[in-house]
Amino acid sequence: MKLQIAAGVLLVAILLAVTAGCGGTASKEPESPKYPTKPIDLIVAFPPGGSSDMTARLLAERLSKEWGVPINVVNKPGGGGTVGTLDVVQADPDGYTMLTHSITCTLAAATSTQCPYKWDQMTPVSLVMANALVLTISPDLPYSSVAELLDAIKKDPSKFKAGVGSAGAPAVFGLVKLFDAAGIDPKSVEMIVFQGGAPTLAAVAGGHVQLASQNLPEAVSLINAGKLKALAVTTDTRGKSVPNVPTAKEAGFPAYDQLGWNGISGPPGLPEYVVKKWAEGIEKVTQDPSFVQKIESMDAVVIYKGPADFEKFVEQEYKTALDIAERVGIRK
Amino acid sequence: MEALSHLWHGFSVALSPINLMYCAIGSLVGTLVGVLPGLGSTATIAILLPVLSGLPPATAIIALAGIYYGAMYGGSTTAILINTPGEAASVITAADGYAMARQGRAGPALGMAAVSSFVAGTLSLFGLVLLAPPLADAALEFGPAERFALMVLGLSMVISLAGKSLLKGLLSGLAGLLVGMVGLDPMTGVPRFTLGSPTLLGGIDFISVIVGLFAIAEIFVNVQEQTRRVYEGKLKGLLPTRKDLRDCAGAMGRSTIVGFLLGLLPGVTPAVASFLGYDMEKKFARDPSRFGRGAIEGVAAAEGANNSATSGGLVPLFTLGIPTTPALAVLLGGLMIYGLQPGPLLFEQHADFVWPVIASMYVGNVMLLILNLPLVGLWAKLTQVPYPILSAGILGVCVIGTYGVRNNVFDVWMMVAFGVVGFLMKRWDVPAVPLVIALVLSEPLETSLRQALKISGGSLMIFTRPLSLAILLLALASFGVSLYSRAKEGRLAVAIEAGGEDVG
Amino acid sequence: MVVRSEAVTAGFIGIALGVVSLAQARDFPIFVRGVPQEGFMPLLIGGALVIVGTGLLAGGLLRGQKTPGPAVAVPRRTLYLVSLVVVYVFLLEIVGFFLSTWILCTGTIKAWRRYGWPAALLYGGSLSLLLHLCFSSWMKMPLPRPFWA
Repeated sequence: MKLQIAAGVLLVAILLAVTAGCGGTASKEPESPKYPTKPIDLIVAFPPGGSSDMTARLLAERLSKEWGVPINVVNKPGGGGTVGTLDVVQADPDGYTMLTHSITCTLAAATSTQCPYKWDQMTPVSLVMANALVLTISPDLPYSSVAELLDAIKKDPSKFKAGVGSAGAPAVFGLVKLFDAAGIDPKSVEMIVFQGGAPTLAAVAGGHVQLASQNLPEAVSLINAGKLKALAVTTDTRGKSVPNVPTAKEAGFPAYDQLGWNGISGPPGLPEYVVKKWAEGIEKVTQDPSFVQKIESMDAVVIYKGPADFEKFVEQEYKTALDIAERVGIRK
Repeated sequence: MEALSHLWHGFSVALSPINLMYCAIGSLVGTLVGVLPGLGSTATIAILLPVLSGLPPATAIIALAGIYYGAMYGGSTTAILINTPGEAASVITAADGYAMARQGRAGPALGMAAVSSFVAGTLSLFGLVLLAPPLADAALEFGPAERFALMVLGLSMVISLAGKSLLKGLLSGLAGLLVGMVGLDPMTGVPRFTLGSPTLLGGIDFISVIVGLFAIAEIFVNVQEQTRRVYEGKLKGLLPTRKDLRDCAGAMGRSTIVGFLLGLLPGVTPAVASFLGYDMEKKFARDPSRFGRGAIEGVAAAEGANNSATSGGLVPLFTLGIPTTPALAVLLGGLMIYGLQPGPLLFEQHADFVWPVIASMYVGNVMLLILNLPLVGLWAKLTQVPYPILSAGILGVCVIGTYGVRNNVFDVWMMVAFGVVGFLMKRWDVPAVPLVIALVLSEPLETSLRQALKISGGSLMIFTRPLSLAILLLALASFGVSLYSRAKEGRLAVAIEAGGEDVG
Repeated sequence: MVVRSEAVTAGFIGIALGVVSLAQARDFPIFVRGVPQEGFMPLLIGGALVIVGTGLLAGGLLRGQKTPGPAVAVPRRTLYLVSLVVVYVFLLEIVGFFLSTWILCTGTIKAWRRYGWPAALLYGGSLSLLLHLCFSSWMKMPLPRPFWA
């Protein structure tokens, strides 16, 4: 009996020691410009494995080596990206909870009236990377250029169905921009929503829908396997892994310029020194050749924008998206 | 055949000490991860990807594949021992497996799960090697209409597994469909059933539901009955007997084929494959009423199907770059980071990568069998741990696993809520398995229906496409057979329980 | 509180769920040119639930189903454990994973009469320590931290 009590006391002692260690390198004084001093949570609002997640992990790996504190990539999927984003919007602006700001986080604010946060609530820090969208069609369709496809659609829009990865995906906006430029009413081509890029592209390859405008990384293997015909990419330069696919500009439709992108943002009211630290850190990482190489192997490009530029960029993206969403009726 | 010589070469690489070691580590880590409910192979693979990035590509992918397979196995271990399925794919294993554990046959259950997984994994890898490209192409023909038909087939299981009262089973199934609708509408993104709560926008995570309904509810029941151990008394044999193996041979074979074919199809997860494999076995059995009460063939069928579906999923991944489940999507990401572009070109350009990986998957299967069979005895002893301590441990593990899915305490609340629901369901004799099946099928069912009809412009004719029609007819047949068996069982029960007892 | 009849209760719940589903269906379009919309499934499921619920209810009332055996009284131990778990989830984000799990495990073990407080605390502590070391320290899973950390 006494032995058990003694063991209990010992355990309490261990407990206290462990809880003290629980908080990591618990900083005893209140926040001072010495940052960071304890582990940081980098939130990704999507399940593991997507481009947001990969970018976050690659970034976290390098920054944590640079700064000497662990950066935990925490996945908080749900609500098409809104749950995780809301989490950061509501977090303390102390720099220890940051968001991997994907384009979808901003698009959600434009497409959904129920979005629990406002598009400008986050503190933008930097843009990190962007990837092209690629216009793909089923392999048995007889069109080999964007112009041919659009002509066919104009003649009979009801025969064409487009697949998209989610209701508010960049794909939707890309297609709308393309149709606008060609004088096709975006509402005349039905957009069928699938659950993510992979099922969408599988549906196109199988001929169940006729076209799609998904993220290039998702489509590369099918294109190179001949299961999908690619007509254009939305970046200014051709994709390295699909060098035979013309750019939208080359194909004659520069308005088809929708990109997918990922950056870093923080909660509202983030102090200047945190923004500066991250922006500088990220800028350094984006110049590291091995980081660039890893991003490029995902078929994306490294694009760095500092806080001010990124803020303008986000605003522009939001306003364009809002306009399209209201016009075409996707805003619900 | 060229393929075989490649495979041979692949084996020689896979069996190199470094690769063997990483295969073993991956399998072990995977098993540990799988034991934990919720934290699936998906998250683990994603987390470990940067860690493994320093290794040569083949070795890293071998380790990752080991984790993927190991997790499948680990999930079934806890499903059998403590009624805690680690993921949707282990739910059906828990149905018969845990019943066997309560009868002192945890050892044979675990052993059969291991053997069945091994057989399925091995056979399906041959399928992968020999049949990959044509199968992958065929899989692309599988569109929304076909998927809807398949989901209807899956739902027919609800009838089959409803237990004594068909109405209660239906209630359970419908409730599952309802739970699946909470959150954003999958097609238009508008919130449904969210009562204005931002967290509910993300829906109710099914891990919370599964863990709550099975593991937590079981503890809530056992605390009232002051259960002392999962199984009291001497364990009846630690491994499956020869008779068991013979009985299950058919189940293993059939479920392997079914699981592999289903795993190929985009959007069909190993969980769905395990449901259908189990149900098929039940229909083939001479005495279907044993299923759900500790039929070892049930364990064999469920495990065989989910393991071969796992391998089946690799077919579209390697040949087309299409991941059929989230875990495979992460694996794909891993491949891309190494600059390895999936597709038929993968087999040509990177033969030195692909074949060792495939060979090591086989090695991984063998390794899991060798590692786990001797441990079966040890695992089975868990059923003899004093229940108070065991249940405390289970609670802790369940909380970690459930929380770890989205790092959100809300999911833990849901787990508790469903624990209470599960407890009440047990008291009221409402079966829990239909709810879970329906929950898993809810989203794909609704999504594929709406996609199909949107494509066809509202015309139901789209379902008369040959494959879709065939599956729908099969579903109809399945409904019919299930209803007929129930009627037969009912008459049998009445004959046995002579004397005014309710037959439901 | 005595459970009168399981079928009747289950039936009521079924009907209630069905009504909820139907109510939600009202907020959304059901069909647009033959294509089912957001309201379609809720309508279908809601309708089916009401039908099944009513069937159960009717069956329970008409057949005069017997009360289910001796397990009719309030399950006190279960209620205790449920309350403990509820308190635990509250505590999780206040005192952190390790401490609250210790409390949970101790309380759970105590729910069986066979163990005294020292043993329960000891086993509880070791279990939560083991869990903490394995998942938080080794696997670096981000588990809830106490508010002072």
